[in-house]
This record gives sequence, C-alpha cells and structure tokens, in this order.
Amino acid sequence: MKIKNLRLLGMFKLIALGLLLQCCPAELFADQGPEEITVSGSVIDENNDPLPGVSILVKGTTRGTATDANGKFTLTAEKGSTLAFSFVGYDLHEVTVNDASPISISLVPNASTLNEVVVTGYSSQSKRSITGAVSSVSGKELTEVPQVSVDRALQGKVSGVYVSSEGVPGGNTMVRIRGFGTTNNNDPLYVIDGIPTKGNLTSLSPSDIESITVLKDASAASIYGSRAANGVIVVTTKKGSAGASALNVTINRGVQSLNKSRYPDLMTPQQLADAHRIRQVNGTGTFAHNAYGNDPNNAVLPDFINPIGFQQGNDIVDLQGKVIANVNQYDDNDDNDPVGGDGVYQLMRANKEGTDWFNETFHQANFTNVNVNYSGGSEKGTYYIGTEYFDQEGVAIHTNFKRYSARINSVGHAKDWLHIGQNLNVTYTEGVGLQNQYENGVLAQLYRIPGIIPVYDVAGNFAGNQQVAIGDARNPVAELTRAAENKSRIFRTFGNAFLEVDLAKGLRAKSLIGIDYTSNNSTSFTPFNPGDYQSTQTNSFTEFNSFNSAVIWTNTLSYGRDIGKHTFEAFIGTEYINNVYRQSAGSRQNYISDVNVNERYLSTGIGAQTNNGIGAQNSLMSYFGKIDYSLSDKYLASFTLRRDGSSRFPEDNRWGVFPAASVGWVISEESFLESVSALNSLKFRAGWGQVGNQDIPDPNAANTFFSADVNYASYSLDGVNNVVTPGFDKTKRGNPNVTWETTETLNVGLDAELLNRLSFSFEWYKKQTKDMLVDIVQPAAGGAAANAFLNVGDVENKGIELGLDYSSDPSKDFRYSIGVNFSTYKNKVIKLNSAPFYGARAFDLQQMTITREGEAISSFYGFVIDGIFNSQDEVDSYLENVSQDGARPGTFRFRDVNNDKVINDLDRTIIGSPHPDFMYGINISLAYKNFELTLTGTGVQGNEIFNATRYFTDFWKMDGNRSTRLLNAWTPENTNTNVPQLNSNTIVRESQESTYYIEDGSFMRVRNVQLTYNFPKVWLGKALSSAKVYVQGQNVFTATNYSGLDPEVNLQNFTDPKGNRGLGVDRGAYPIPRTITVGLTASF
Amino acid sequence: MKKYIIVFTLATSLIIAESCEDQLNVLPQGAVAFEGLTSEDAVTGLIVSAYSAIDGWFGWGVATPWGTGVSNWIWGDIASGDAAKGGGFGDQGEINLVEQYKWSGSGIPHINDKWIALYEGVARSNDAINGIRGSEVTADKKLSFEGEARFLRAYFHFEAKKIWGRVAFVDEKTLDYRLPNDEDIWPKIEADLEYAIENLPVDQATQKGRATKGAAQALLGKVHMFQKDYAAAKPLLDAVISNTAKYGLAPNYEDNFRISTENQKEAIFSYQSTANDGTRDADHASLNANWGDILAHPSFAPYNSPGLHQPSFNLVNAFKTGADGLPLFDTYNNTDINNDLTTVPFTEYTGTLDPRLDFTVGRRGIPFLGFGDHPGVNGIHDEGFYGPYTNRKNNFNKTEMDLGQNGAGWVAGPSALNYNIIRFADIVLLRAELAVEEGDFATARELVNKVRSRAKTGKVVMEEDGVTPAANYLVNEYPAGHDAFSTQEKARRTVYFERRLELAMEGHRFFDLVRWGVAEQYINKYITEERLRRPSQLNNANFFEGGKNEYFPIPLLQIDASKIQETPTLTQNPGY
Repeated sequence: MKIKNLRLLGMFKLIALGLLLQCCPAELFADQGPEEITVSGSVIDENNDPLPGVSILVKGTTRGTATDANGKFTLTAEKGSTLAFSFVGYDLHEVTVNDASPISISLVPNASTLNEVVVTGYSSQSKRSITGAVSSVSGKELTEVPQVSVDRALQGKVSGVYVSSEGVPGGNTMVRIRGFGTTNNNDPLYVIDGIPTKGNLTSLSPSDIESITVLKDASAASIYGSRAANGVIVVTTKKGSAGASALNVTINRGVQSLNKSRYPDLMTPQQLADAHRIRQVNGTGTFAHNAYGNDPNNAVLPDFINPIGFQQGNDIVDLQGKVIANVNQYDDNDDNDPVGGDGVYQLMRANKEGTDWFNETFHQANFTNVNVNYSGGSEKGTYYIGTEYFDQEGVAIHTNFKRYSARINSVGHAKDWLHIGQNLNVTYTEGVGLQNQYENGVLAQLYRIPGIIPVYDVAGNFAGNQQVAIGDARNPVAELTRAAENKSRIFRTFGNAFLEVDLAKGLRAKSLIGIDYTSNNSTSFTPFNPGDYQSTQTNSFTEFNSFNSAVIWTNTLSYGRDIGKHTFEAFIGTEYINNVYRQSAGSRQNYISDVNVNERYLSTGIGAQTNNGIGAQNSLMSYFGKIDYSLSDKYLASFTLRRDGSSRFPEDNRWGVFPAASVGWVISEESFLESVSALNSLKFRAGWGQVGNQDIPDPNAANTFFSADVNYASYSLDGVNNVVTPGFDKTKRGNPNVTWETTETLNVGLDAELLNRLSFSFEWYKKQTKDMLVDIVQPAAGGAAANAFLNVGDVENKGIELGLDYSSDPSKDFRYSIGVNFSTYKNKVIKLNSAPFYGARAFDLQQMTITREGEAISSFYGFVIDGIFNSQDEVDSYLENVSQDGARPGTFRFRDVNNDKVINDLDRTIIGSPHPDFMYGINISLAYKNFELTLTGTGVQGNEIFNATRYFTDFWKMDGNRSTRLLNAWTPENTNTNVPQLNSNTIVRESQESTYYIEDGSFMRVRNVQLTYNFPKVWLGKALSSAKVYVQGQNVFTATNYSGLDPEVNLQNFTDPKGNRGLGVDRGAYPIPRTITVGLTASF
Repeated sequence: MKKYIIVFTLATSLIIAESCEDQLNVLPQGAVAFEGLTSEDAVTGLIVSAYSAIDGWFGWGVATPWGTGVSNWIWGDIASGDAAKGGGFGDQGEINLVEQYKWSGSGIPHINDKWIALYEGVARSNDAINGIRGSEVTADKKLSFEGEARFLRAYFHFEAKKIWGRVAFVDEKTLDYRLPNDEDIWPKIEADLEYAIENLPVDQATQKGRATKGAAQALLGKVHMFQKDYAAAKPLLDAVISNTAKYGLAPNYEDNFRISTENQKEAIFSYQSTANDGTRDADHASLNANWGDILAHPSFAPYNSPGLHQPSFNLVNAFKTGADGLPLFDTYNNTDINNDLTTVPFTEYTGTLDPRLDFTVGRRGIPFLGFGDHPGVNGIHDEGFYGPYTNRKNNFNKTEMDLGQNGAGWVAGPSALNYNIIRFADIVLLRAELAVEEGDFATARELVNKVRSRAKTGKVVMEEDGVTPAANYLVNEYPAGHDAFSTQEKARRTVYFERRLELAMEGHRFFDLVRWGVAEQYINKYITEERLRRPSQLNNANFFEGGKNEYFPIPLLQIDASKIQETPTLTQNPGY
C-alpha cells in the first residue's frame, strides 16, 4: 500500500499517540511508585544570606525546582529519593528526604565545575562524565559584555574556538572551531533549544542565553552527523524555575568610536600632485595633467576642481577662447556635462588643505541596549519571558542596526508523566548596513578619493569625482547619506513545541516540532548622483522580499538506568528537516522626487520596471542513537551512530553513516590516588569519530540544468530592433558522483582539578577531512555555467588546546580569578585531486590566495621581492643570470623562485599564511568586597595579512589618492627603501600579488575591561534582590604591527562559503569600534 | 501496556521516517534539466542563447563586458595603432597596457574576460548541437539548425584563434575541458563551416538575424585567407561576390552604421543589437544592446559613456587625399590635419579628405550625428594622453534616439545599432588581396575601385544646413595603369591601405597586420611617430616585439584552471 502523503499520516499517528496517552489513567503509573511527599526548605550561602536560583533536582528524574528570591523552595518527591542542590560556584549538596519536615541547606563555595550539567545536544550530561572535547560557557559569562550576538561573546572564552566579527552594526561573526576543515563552509552548526541552524545569530538576544556548549571533536559532535564537521555550538535559552520568580532589568548605554591614529596616512593634495608630476617626468620626461598643469618642475593645484581652471568671478574659456562656463551657469541638479548637455557646471572648489575623508565618514556613535526578563513557575509548570531592545549606530555615518526581540519559554507538567512545552523567539531587526571589504564599495573609496575633492560644492551639494583627471573614486559621504534609508528589515520566528512522555522509570519519549522562519524585506533607492563621473542617468528603486522556512521534526526515545556500579544513558531518534527559500524582487525607474522617502514604492515610479524571483529547497532525514556507560564513575565509554540522507546529493550517494566512540578514565577515583587530597579530579579522555559537511548550494549537486534567461541569453533572430527571443543557457554543471565531506577526528584530553581552586585541561587532536567539496573553477573552455562541486581533496588540522583557571577563596573580601586559554591548529592540504585553486580577488589581484597540496588552505600567493635595484650595475649583473621584464634602477627585484632564469608567472609561490601559530585568551577578575574588575583579552600570533588596500594607495593601477609611504619612494639618492621609484613607465608585475602586500597580522586586543559595583544587600531592601552598576570598555586597546585600520580583518564575505578562500585579505574592512558603556542591572 | 506504547512509538517513528525519505528527491528550482529541452521552441532557445553570446555579455557574475566586445575594439584597434585607449586615464587603466605593448597573461583582466566570452559562445553552441540532435524537430530542420550552431561554434573559435593563435577546439563531446592548445584547429573550424555551407539555407526569410549559407561561405573564405590558402579561399569569396541578388555594397557608406539601414545587402552577418527590448538588471536596461562595446562610446551627451576607443592621429591623417583624390601613402602622417588639441587657435582643415573619415571619426567642428558640431577636446577626458578624436561608427544618431539605451544606469551609448561582423566590402577587399597575390592586379584595382566608387558617389557628412559638405571631401577611383597597381608590392600596399580606410575602427586592423606579416615593422613606426603627438601615453610604451606580440598571452587564470595536478595543459604563447 502506498499512501501518498505518509508524512501527514505519520503526524496524525503521533497526535493519536498523544491522545491515547492522555486517556491512560494516571493511576496506571502512579500505583507503581512509592509514596510522594511535599518537601520545602531554604538555602543559604557562606555568609548566611539566602541564595536564590539554586536548582534542586530529584535525582533519577527530570523533576526539579529552584529557590526563590528568599532562597526558599517547595517540591514534591518520592519518599526516600535524593535531592541534589546545585548552583554555579558551589559544591553539589545532596540530601535524602524521608519526611515532609523543612530542610535547611548551606552551600559551600567551590571553584569546581565538575558537577555542572552540560547540554550536549539531544541529551545532557554532567561534566564529570563527559568523554568528548566539550567546552561550556554560562550565560552569565557571555552577557558580561553587551554584544549584538551571542557568538561574539565567545571571543577568548573557549580554547580552540576563534571568533572574529565584522565591525558594521548587525554584522556577521566568523566562528571557527579547530581550524579550517574545508575551503567551503566552515561555520559550525548551531543548535538552539534543539533546533539546528547555520549562520547569523544576530536575531537571537544574548540576554536570553542560559548557556553555550561547544562540541569540538567528532566523538561529541557526531550525533549531528552530516552537518557537524565544523563543530557544533549548542545554545540553551533561559527557563523559569518552580517557586522562584525573578524580574531582571538591564540597561546599557554606550558610545563607540574609532582610534583615529589608525587611519591610514594619505597624501595631501600637493603631495599627490607632486607625485603625479615626478612619476610622469621620471617616465616620459614631460608632464601633462588636466588638473595639475604641464610644468615638469612644479605641479599646481587648481582653484576649482570642477571645472578645472575656473576662477571665481571669471568666465572659463577653452583653448580656443570660447566661453564654456561662468559662475552664473552654475546648476546643482542635472547631469553636469558642459558639452552637448545643458552647458552648466557644478562648481567644486578645490580643497587644497585636503579633505580628511576618514574623519568625514566615521563619527562617534551611540549604543543602547535594554532588556527585561521575568521568570517563574510552580510545580505545574515554569515560564521565562525575555524582551530586548538593541539599538546601535555605526561609526560609519548613516549605518545602524536595531533589534526588538521577545521570547517565551514555558513547560507545563500536565501529568506527572506528561510534559508539554515550547520555546518561542520572535525578533524584528532593522538596519542600514554596508558591504564590508567590497573592493568597489564605500569603504574602498575612502582609500582612493583624493583630498582635493571637497565634501560639498560651493552651493552645499555633494561634490564628487566629476573631473576624471583626479580619479574616479566616489564621494563616500555622499554615498552613505544617499543610502541612509536603504533599510533591510528582517523578521524571524524561531522556536519549537514539544511533548515529553515518561513511559516508565528512566524511559522517556520526546517529540519536538521546530520552526525557523525568516522573512526579509529590503528597499534600496538609487538617486541621481550629480557630481560623479558617469553619474546615474535616471533614479531607480528596488524592493526585495524573501522568506526562508525550516521545519524540523525530531523524535527521541531515551533511557537511563543505574544497575549497581553500572550506569547507562541511551537514546535513539529520528529527525526530519525541510527548508524552503523563495525570493522576489522588483525595481522601477524614474521617481519624481529624489529625496522624498515616502515616495519609494514600486508603483510610484513612472519608468521601466522589472521583476525577478528565485528559490531553493532541501531536506535532510536522519536516524541516530547514543549510549553512555559508566562503571563506578571511574571508567566511562560513549558510542554514537548517526545515519543521514540529504537531498543535496544524488540518490546513490545520499546516505552517510557517522559513527563515534570515546572512553574516559577518571584516574582520581582510583584507590592509588585517593590519598592525594589536593587532587579533586583527574580524568583522561580519548575519542574517535566521523562527522560530515554537506554545506553546498541547495540544488541537488548531481544535476546539470538550464534556465531561461531573457537578459543574458536572448537574441533578436528577426533582426527587429526592440524585441528579443529568450534563450536557454546552462546555468549550472552537475556532478553525478558528488557526496559529502567526511571529517575524522582523533582527540585525547586530560582534565584536572586541584585544591578546589585550580582547573586544568589539555587536548590534542587530529582532524582529517576527506573528499573536500570544492566548486573547482573549470577552464572557461567549458563555458561559464556555475561549476560543479567535486570531492577533491583531504585536509588535516592538528593542534593542541590548553585551559587553565584559578580562583581564590570566594568567601574572602579580596577575591581574584584568572583564566588562560591557548590553542593552536596546523592546517595542511594533504591531498588534492584537482589543480590548486585560488581565492580572494579584487580588481586584477585575482589570485591572492591559493589552496594546494602540502600547504595550508588559502595561503597567500604571489611573487617574492628581494629588494630594489639601486643602480644600473645591479640591474646588469642580475640580468646576466635572470631575465626580468622592465628591470631598471628603482624597480623591484623579483626572485626567480623556480630557477628557470626568467621572471614569469611560474615564480609565484607561497608568501604568507592567514593561519596563526597560536591563539590565546585571558580572563582576569579582581574583586574587593562589592567591587569587581574584569578583563578579557584575546590575541593571535604569527598570522599574516594580505593588505590589499596597498593596491589602491601604493600603486598606480587605480587613479586616486596615495599613501605617504610613497614619499619614501626610491630615488637615486634614497636607496634605503622598499618603495619602488615613482615612474609612469609601469612595470606590470610591480602591482601584482607579492610580498609587498604581506604584513604581520599578529595582535593582542583588550576586548573588555569592566568595573562593577554590586550594591550591598542591606541597601536594597525587600524590593530588590540584587543590583549592580558598571562601566565598561570594549576593544579599548590593541597591540599590533599591522599598518591597516584594524588587524581583525577576517573574511570579505561571511555568507558565501567561498569567503574562507579570502581569509586575512584586507580590502578595506569596516573597523571594529572602541565602545565605552555604562550599565545597570537590577533583579527584583 | 507500556510495552505496547514502546512498540507503537517505535513503529510510528519508523513510518514517519520512511515517508520523509521520499522528500529527499528535491529537484532544482526554477530550472530545467537538459533532457527537457526537446521541443522546437526549446531547441531554438538553445540556438538563441549561442547567438546571444556574440556580444560578450552574460551578466556580472561571468565576465565583465569591458573587454569582450564583438567589435574587438581593444584587440583589433587599440593594439593596432588605429585607436588610443581613450576615456579617463585611470578608467580601465589596464587597457593602457594593451596600447603600450606591456602585455601579460595576468595584468590585463580584459584578456581573460574575452577568453571567457568566446568560450561561453562555444559552450552554448555545443549545447545547441547536442540539443538539436536529441530533439523532436524534423530532420530538415535538424540539419539547418545544426548548421547554425556549427557556424557559430566556428565563429567563436576563429575569434579565439585570431587573438591567441594557440587555442584548443572544444566540440560537443568534450567532457574534460582541460584541453591542450597544441593542436592546429584550422581544420576543425573549416569542417564546421563546410557543414554549415552544406546545410544552411541561402536565405533565412524574415529571420535576418540567423546565419545563412552566404555567411558561412564568407567566414570560411576569411578563414582560408588567414592561412594564406588562396586557392581554397577564392571560390568561396567569389561565390559571395557573385550572389548579386543577395549581396552587394550599400548605396551609402554610412548605411552600414545606421539602425534604419541595417541588415541590407552589405550585411552578410551582423550582431543584432536591440534596445528597449524589456531586458533589465538592477541598474541597467537594454541588455542586448551590444554590451561588449559599452565603454566605446563618447563621454559627452547624449551618450554619457566612458569615451574609450579614440581614433589615433595616425588613423585620422590616413584619410588625407591628394589632389587626385587618392591616398598619400608615404606622406600622410608628416603633418596632422587641424585639430583643437594642437591647432591654436583652432581653424577647420581645408585640405582634401576621404569622406569616409567623418563617418569614422568624430572631430571638432564637424556635425556629429545630428547633435550639433562635435565638441572636440571639450568632450574628451584626457586628450593629452589620447588625442582629440572620438569614434563615430558605433553611435546612434539623433533620429534614432528612441532606439538608444533609454533608461540606462550610468551609460547611454549602447543602442539597437548592429555591429557588422562580416560586411560585403570586407569580402571584396579580401578578394582584391587574393588577386594581388595571384598577380591579377587588374581585378585587384577593379575591386578596390568598387569600394572607392561607393565612397565617392554615396552621401557625405553635411553641415547642419544639409547641403554644404562638412569638409573638403575628395575621393577617386584608381585610374587604369596607375602606379599604385604597377607591382605586386605596390598593389599590396594599395589594397592594405584601402582596407584600413574602409574598415577603420571596426576591429579588423591588428589581425590584418599580423596576417600580412607586417605588424612589427608597421606598429613600431607608428609608435615612433605617434609618440611625438601623445608623449604622456606613448613615451611609456614598449615596442612591438616580433615573435611575441603577434598573439596575446593566454590568460593566466585559464592556464591555472587547466592544470591536472600541478601541470597545466594550456601552454603560454612564446615570449610571455
């Protein structure tokens, strides 16, 4: 029998199951257990103050509660059961209850984290019993610093996790766990309350986060199978506690700014004019420049840059004496072509002192963040309500980001054995962004636009690059101002609903349906841009709408049992995920007003219109299971198996199996170590496993397909002048043999805790990716269709991670703690079945990075410069052995890398690496009584940056401003320099990828310094349970030798997986601002 | 009870799971598989897409259109000395390197774009061939359709062969595109064209954009001329020339460059440009308006283009005529005709000129296509580098403005004006060349005169009054027994010179110079002379290096993409 929609049937059956269970008399279960009693009591800390928020769990069940603001609790438990009291920073306390008399507990402070329960995906485990490479961070630690997204808060907190973000408000964040497994998508999988998602977390309010767990190795992550190769970040949001209602309010206000001393040193107008002159004179012996005159000894700045030669009050005449402009002909809003058009000019007075474009573009920007959350509950259920308002201006004018978010998490215990719950997050974000690192974008113009161009013309309109002799860079202030209303509006609903049924003691079934729905509306208006060379001939407006919906359905059955010394925890499950994406866009030309934002709708334009739309779909089906076993809490073992089927692969290669196993030995439990009282714990772990990466674009990668395309594949077969027949052309090539990447990890770890104060962890890992998926650039001889994804190579990452944390006695007036983490990864392509392939490009720097066998992914690639020829003798003696085009004194001496006696493209080699030797994070906290000072620093060491902005400022391929580095250019007198002679007789190779662009990218950055004052409880009275104020600085200090704006350049494109191939290339990145924040947190 | 619940739960999950597995067959969205393209419309769509590739424009993600133009304005004109880069100095600054003979496989991205554009044309032709063979169309149509596709495939390969010399031939069976370029691909180009001649109709009825038998004969004739295989070329060129019912010279020289008179008898095969055809991307309209030439229109209104592709002093001077209305072979470049860069104050040139000059070049004082007098240097960005002239042939005139690229983004130069890939005058002059090589100077003179006679009798550029010639035009045929056809050497020079004038700024010159074997000698003389007029640009030029600069370098990106392991299959041209 084949029922058409079995999925629906399946859903129906599950509902039926639910109904059936509802109908079962509760007595059926109740009569099997012992008597229940109600237990109440209170918990106090070492100072005898009530301790709110202590979680209390009835051992062996999921039943629990937490203490309220007065440290009190009530719950029901079976007679004879054990209650476990846990609170971060305190020893676990266990009490057996036999009657209903109130109990009073006093918790003892402890730096040990061994008893923390860590959510590891479909299940949770105590830290003590974990055998994989797993790190967890509490929400408290993460929200110390107000951040746009929670992944940024991981910076410096976890060894082996490198986090770096875009400076643009609401920008993306790059998280890399243990290096780079592929040149494709390296983003970890995020699992938020059981719902997997990839990418941008800016729609999730960090204040709602309870904890984050990072699953670093395959033995921990393989439960997520084909998406876990880059590691998994499990995010758990806050839940309410029975009996403990709490209201928390946090307000942060801050200002952000840039460190002006890092702005690049660019030439003054006179210096630039002189550089033009010197260059031409050196090259041709003559000087001719439309703006700077023809005197080979003296470049003269014009009074007006548009029209050049204009003098106030006078007509401007051409060489033939014809009057071509006078001040009365000034016109501010039309095309500014004096000839053939309307014969009028926009008058732009030269700024001879030089416009400081960086200063004009970046400003001090405000930042506000308010969040209010309320949680509580009873034995019948708990709830958490979180709301947030986040408002950040960008340091680049007119950029901004706003977020409004609300979350409701709740669980209802309908029956003892039946739990229904949901987690729901609704977020609206709105902002004006800026394309980061785009070589033709606004930020690139900052490097290129000469200072002689004023921001405004004589009438106060935006000036520009109309005079092409001065270069074609655009006015960045004008561009940003004109784009100020080009907003992107994103609405995201993210959440799940679940049903849990306790089938028998220790046996629980759970069914969860999740949704991740994002809709995006963005509008963009292109106004007239008079003042610009090649100005827009007509204004236009584009509106874009898209939605992405992911539906997830997970079913698990878990079982846990202690039999004597043996403890088992196991579960099996299935998961189905379906993604649908659709987008549509329309545009229209000719709007009556260039400035009226209320007119910006598609129907309001009167000119040509277009529309277009695309979409994508994919689905994933999985079966999985896990068993954790422990013998006497001493010998631990864990086995995982997952089988995934993905729609992205052809039917024959669709299914992958991902196994993992790990073992642990808690040495400190052995009798021979029992006498070492200083040693709280010592655990050795080893794990092996396989995980996959299936992150390639959505259409089934096997298929070659064609699309109708009226724009780029149509033709007029009839020879008619305004009608075309649409054609079909190949848009994508397929690969019928494609399958996923598989990453195999070996991990060995050692965890130790001493003196209740000091914890230490060490990991060694080896991670091998096989069948790396790459859309290898095919020779153009095959046509321009999108390249097929091929499984081309193997990549290895090896590294170590160290973590060390020490805390002083928390009961003292003066307390301190220090945490240090350190990690390395060594990345190497060990096999490549294809040609080496390239990454990042900007203009004709097209091969800045290469991925090839035996080297790290995306290594910098180019020529090696061995200095500059200082004399003709040096040139002659070099040319005796090696032929180098254009060699003359003052030019680069290129290295003949392959010793073939000629400098050509074969002499390109690896010239640097974006991968650091090591990375580190330092977290320090000092506290005296109610004052607390915390500091977080991070750093990377030994990586290089390809400073591609030098292409704009140090060479003459693009007309525009130049770096003051060129003032130190080679001359016969100035030979001690690395800057070649200014000479218009260009050596083509001079500006190509070379060691000239490579800089040391190491840096150490103080991410956060914070001084907090906790109000003493006696001041707070009854209404408040706690309150603190703090002042905080983010990114206050950076130590680096990098000459660019910001050494943290990371990626050009965070959403295109190929961005990884351009790691560490700086085309003018949006810098990360320094932020000073004042904040207040109060709990009621 | 519990047992039942467990069993039931497991069974449910499995049923759910099994049903979900069906959902894993997700097909590409918004696209069709090749197997679906079998109807006549679908196959026509594949052929259309191959024709569409001629203009070198496939959207921003593939190759920028800056250097991909069908007219070869960079590779045929700027590289030959007929044109300067033009426009603003820094605008597409890499094209300066073409003009300065600083050619490299990596420093000039336009070289790679051109390669991509031509091979995309090849790929689309191959898709069409495979589509046609598996389609439901009638056997007759299959032959004619495949004839078209193979004609186009030959055309794209021929273009690549002209530019790079060593190129690979990609056929419809190729699966691995890492092909070596060590093979002589002429025979394969010829085989395609022979197939096309065999199967294409003489006339495509109303579908003037489609290739015909005559187009294939003309192209194959040209292919043989490039190989100096005169015996093979002769019957093909003769077949075209003798088909007087279909082919001939247009009455006026300018008819070749007007939208209203395109697709006439002289147009053997043209790129069919369209405007205001409903196509648009985010910022631009009329995407079939010959986008590969988008930079090569003047920068003044109404074109508002970057203004690249400016005629050189040398080219303009070549249009001088003597009192006899014939070219000044040896002395034309000794002085410049009046121009508003170096003639101060400016006065109009009064010497005699071939009237084709002012259909080819925009210069100060001469009416420019109905928009008043040409503005001279006031309409030019960097005249010190590139001189005072602009290109004229590829621009719409005032009466054709509604077929210009209305509603464009930042340029308005492109229009519905076709580009003539092969026009009758080209074939006539090739036949004249062939006659010279055969020693048949009488035929050569007759054919050259045919072209000159049209220049003489056709319309010339008039002042705004419509009755006064805009300059002192004088052009004549070569009288019988003229010295210009007295020896083979002189006859060659005469035919070559005529070819330069007649086809100027149409992208043929560089390939002719190389084909004739005179590139090094001619171009180096040109640089030496032109340098005196434009020192800022040409004092920085290298000289043409024989044995190297005849062909452009294979793009480095393509060599790198052709690697099998670390070994490239494409070999770089000598000298790079």
